[in-house]
Amino acid sequence: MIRVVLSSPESEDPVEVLLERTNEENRDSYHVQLNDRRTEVDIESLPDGSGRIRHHGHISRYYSIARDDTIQVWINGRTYSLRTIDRTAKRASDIGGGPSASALTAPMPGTILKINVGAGDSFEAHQSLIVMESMKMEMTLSAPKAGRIKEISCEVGELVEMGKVLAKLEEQKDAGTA
Amino acid sequence: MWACLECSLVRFFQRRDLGMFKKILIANRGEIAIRISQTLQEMGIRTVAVYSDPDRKALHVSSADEAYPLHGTTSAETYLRIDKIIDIAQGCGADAIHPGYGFLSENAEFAEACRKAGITFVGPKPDAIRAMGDKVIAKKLLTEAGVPTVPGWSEDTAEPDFNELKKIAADIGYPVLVKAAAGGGGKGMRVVSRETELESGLEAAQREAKAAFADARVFLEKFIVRPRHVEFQIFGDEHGNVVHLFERECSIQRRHQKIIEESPSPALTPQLREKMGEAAVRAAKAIGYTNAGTVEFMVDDAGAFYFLEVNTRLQVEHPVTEMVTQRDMVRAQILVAAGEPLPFRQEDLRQHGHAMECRIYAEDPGRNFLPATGTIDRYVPPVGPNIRVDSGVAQGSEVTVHYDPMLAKLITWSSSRRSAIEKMAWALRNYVILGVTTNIEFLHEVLTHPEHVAGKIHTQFLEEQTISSDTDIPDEALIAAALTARHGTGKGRTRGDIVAEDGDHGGPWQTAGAWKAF
Repeated sequence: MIRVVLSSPESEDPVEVLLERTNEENRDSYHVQLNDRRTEVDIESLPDGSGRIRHHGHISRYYSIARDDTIQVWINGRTYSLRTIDRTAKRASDIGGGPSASALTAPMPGTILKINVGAGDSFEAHQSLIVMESMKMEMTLSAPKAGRIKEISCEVGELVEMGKVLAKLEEQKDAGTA
Repeated sequence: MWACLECSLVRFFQRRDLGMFKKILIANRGEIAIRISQTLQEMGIRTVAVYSDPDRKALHVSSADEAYPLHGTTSAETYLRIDKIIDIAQGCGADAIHPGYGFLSENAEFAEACRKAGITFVGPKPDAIRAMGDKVIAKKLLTEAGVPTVPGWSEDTAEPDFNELKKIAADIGYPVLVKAAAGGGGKGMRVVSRETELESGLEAAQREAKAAFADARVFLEKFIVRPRHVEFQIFGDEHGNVVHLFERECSIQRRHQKIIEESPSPALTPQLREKMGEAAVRAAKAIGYTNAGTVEFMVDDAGAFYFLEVNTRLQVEHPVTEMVTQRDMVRAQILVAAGEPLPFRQEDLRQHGHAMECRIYAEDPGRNFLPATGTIDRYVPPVGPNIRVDSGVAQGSEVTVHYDPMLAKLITWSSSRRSAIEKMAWALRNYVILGVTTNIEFLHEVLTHPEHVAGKIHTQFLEEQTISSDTDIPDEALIAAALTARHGTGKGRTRGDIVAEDGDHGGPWQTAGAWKAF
């Protein structure tokens, strides 16, 4: 049996997918449960992440890749990005209280144009922290809420990859706490 | 008949001994380098690739017969280095250089440097490149040749008299467009709708022009509302022959960047086509143009056309012309560069059927078209009759931040515009690229938009139309994803029963979700 919980950037609610072989003779035939909905499909999957799914007679060809917890699926001319999630872990939005360390990361590969803050500086919500340029487009990375810079880990002119930590931030719970 | 035989004998020996090239360096990368290399190899010419450090394993390197490093990363350190490229060409004994498009293709100094080094530059003469590269000079030359230009004003000065400009703008009639003389790609361009905005618009355009091109000269012209972009392929040889290979309509643009092109244009009547073709040939003759070039026009609702600019290179969208005329543009370029006469006369050329082209970019339409990078983990291009893919990437290719994000061009041909669109829609729906986000689905939405299908297109199309796509995830996608999470993708990424190693979803900083890019 396969049990995977998936979420997508487009929808709030995760979907639990359960796949179970119908019987041992026909190894392509599966019972499927998507949250509360049940259906039957035939699946021919290849080890390279491609295959086809037959659902009520309709054929869907698919190709897929997995990278960390993200799965990209191409199916019938459209591409979807899904994340596998662990339901037992606390959802990020549930985490509350206490100064929590986090990072400002590069949303794109590009060059750092300007750093408007230094280590130890406090900042307001929506304040512009770092300006970067990617493929001739300038973008401002601003603060979603007030906080303090723990550390700046990039420099002006530096070429950064996507996801690189540019600054470590901490949330400022009350004025005066370090 | 004797004359003809003599003629062909002379040509035969020229080709064997003197004229025809034995080895050509391609000073470019990506799909165009590969496309050029293929025709050269067909002609029995050895091809030489050059490459930057990040392109060491790029597809254009393996498709050539020889390859040499340019050492460096950025375009400025590599594909734009005239000295390095000439050195490599001399070192490996290349007798010509094909510049492709972009990079050094419209650089007169490069063409000049090739000539001095005794290497043939596949393209027009340096003087023609220089003249057409300056929009003020180009417009003046073509106006003199009787090519219709947009009513406007140009003066070779960086500090125009404002009061005079105000009078001229009023004469032309608002809205007017302020444009950089050295411009391109929409930089240094401002639409001014009324007199009170003229001064600020002028200053902004000059400032941008100075920053982008180190040249503050601007010119004024009438702003044509909702024009079509229609361009003519021209070709000249060193024997005084000039022909045109009909038009391409490239009205579907996003921020002045063409994304869908076609030939013929749905807007041209046979009479208008003939008139515009004649004007294009007249333009080419006026500047003594040799090799392949493109004369760009704007066409308004009433069928009036105005000269825009001349591109002195092989265009990105040349395949649609190749499909409808059944001629190989690169082959003709090589023959002309070798001093042979053009392989076709005007009366040999016809438009057969209809061709469409879509440019596949590594960019994310869902995130304001930000360029996307990464490894192409899955690459399955569409295959079928009359489907052509000019691709610069393959499975495993790395897409980096360093160069243009165009990955490939998808071209389809059919007997009618309608069926060419249907074939293109099918091909887009069967083009698999995973690992790097692309604009394929966006192109499909634009292509199948009822107004596009009806041929009601203009350069503001994408600004005026809403292009939406449905975001519902089908059950089959969830099932496929679940299988992949379970089995992995055969690349040593096999995962556990339920993926739970990663409990860290980031702090409140990530969940705020909006490190917004403006």
